[in-house]
Amino acid sequence: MKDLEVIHSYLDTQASRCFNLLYERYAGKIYSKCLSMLKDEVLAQDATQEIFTKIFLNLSRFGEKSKFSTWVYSITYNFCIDFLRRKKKQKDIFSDDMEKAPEPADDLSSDKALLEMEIGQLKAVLENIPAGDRAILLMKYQDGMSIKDIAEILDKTESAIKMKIKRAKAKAQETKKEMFQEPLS
Amino acid sequence: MNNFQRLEEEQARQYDAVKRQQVQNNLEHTFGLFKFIGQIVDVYLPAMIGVLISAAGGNSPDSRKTGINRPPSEGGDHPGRVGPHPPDGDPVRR
Repeated sequence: MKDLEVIHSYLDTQASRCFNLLYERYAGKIYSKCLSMLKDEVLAQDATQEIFTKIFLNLSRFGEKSKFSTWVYSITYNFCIDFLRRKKKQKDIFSDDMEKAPEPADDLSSDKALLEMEIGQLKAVLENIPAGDRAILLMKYQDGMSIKDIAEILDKTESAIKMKIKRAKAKAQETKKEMFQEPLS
Repeated sequence: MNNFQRLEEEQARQYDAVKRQQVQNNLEHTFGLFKFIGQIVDVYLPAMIGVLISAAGGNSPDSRKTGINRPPSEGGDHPGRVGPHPPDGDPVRR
């Protein structure tokens, strides 16, 4: 059964099996994103619960303009970004990293380096870069979202998102170099 | 599948059966509560609005149906038994 069929069935009948089906499909992924963003298992579990509450309370507002998964992940990222913003009492977690960010590296080579990073290293690097960079890299490389989708979710222009992706990649590479400096032979 | 997606899978596996069930139970409880509150509102809200209208001196839609606040000449208090007409008025047309 496709996501859309399950959603329509849930809206018509409020049947718990539809709820269970969507929960089974998305719970793990939502938890994983929350864990990447919030870096704490208990917070990630609480966030997963709140995000599911939001999803089901707003299910009738899903306009089918995008894929259901994109809509679900947009709620997830926005929830985590709001949470971090409140925690840091910072207006915009994307605002301060433009000045600090290093110059973007060459796009293709940085893409390859990022995607070929070992999982353990990648996890460590993601934990040590700013939350805004982390969110953008996850949207682009984990969820395969388009620039347009990311721009809509973060309420930024497409050119701003392209620049942020470049800078996030450069930041990730720089962090990797700092954390995993290879010994000179 | 790239390493970002492998990392996602690895972290999703940490969301084990216990956590999964805990969150699912909490969600079912929350939605059950919302449903219950919705049903209460459905059942009692119209009646409460009627009471408030009556308290404010108006006729609630329910009281008109049952004949409350209608004079005996219209069969208000005792449906089926019509009382005397007002002294100076014409019989009420029914």
